[in-house]
Amino acid sequence: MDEQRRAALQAWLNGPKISAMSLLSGGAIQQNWAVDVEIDGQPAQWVLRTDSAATLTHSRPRAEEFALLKAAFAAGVAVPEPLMLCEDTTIVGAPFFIMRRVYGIAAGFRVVKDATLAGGREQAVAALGRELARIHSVHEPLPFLAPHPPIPPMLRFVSEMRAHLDQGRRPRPVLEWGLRYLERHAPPSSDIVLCHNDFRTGNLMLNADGVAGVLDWEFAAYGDRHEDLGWFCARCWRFGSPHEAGGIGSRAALYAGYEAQSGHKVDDAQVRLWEIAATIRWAVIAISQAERHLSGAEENLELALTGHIVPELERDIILATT
Amino acid sequence: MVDITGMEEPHPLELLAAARAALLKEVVPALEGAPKFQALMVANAISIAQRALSGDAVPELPNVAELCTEIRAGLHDDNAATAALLRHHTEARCRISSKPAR
Repeated sequence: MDEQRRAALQAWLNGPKISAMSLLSGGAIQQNWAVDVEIDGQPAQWVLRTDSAATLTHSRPRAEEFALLKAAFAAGVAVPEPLMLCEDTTIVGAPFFIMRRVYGIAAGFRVVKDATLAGGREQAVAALGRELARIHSVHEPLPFLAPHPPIPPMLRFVSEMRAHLDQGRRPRPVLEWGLRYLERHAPPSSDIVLCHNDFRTGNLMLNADGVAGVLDWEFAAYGDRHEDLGWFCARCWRFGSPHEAGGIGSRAALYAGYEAQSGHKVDDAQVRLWEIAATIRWAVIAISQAERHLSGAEENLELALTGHIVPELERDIILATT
Repeated sequence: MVDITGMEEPHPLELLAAARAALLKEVVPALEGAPKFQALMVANAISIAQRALSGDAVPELPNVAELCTEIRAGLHDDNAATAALLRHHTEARCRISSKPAR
């Protein structure tokens, strides 16, 4: 961030004095800046989240992400407290918001190896179950989220995924097989709740005390509560760990935490169906990432290699459906 | 397999193995952070190419587009032969794309 933008930000803050700024993570789509400030002489640590300039972004606008964080924070979800939103693009070049900085470990391969986070594996997944229950308890109207169509969430999922496959260059018989299985076994109807839709190891910051922050609200939408539980438990998000709940702990402890907080019994059979759905969804995303490389839109080895996780995802789908 | 008898040695597959070994032994230890991650991805890409070039052919399933349409229409529900076909093909694809289980 150049001097001019930093000065504009300093003026916009109207009080808090910036003492240090550094880039925490800069993706092609978003940037996160660590901002240290002093407010009436007291230090505070913030994160400023903004769009990468010059990126035509398809991601959720910052104002919507800010509103989601506010609703989640109000419901008691462990999210970084959202502090202020600025939609004026003349300050730092794009809309941004500021949230309180949280501290912990999020990287999946580190989290699944660390048996001390949150006081131990079972405590960690129980705490994550409670977080998920709080997310599902958000009833505040979020008008920018599309209402759920009047069909069972699993059938909605199947038709969305088939639409993606129809756009693809290659037929995908195993994904078709998995989707047909879900179509035949779809539960008839369910409560519609706010789902995070990317609640998985890697997006969940943990520290010694517990859950420091549920990150990455990009995909939040209305759906079935078992959808988030299945995404969290799917084998593809266990980072090679044997622990069935996110590679961190046991399924029983996760369910117990969820049930204690929400008062809703977890239907294990439904979670397992949504795990198949999660595997299909990740395969569809992996295919589209590889396609970005193949089409020349974005030549990148990581995207290219992501395509090669598809066969293993397909193996998981076959094993779960035959 | 391509006829390699007239090619100079080492065989290109051996070159890939040497390239990967050089990368992992000489380059990766000197790196950290994002460049190290990139180098490990290069090693992974070489592994996939090695397995693809040294293993069996993996042809696409016959009439795969029709098969997809039929599966979606429910014509293969509970069909053990179809399940076995998909399983066999998926295992062949995994042998190329995935690291062998240790």
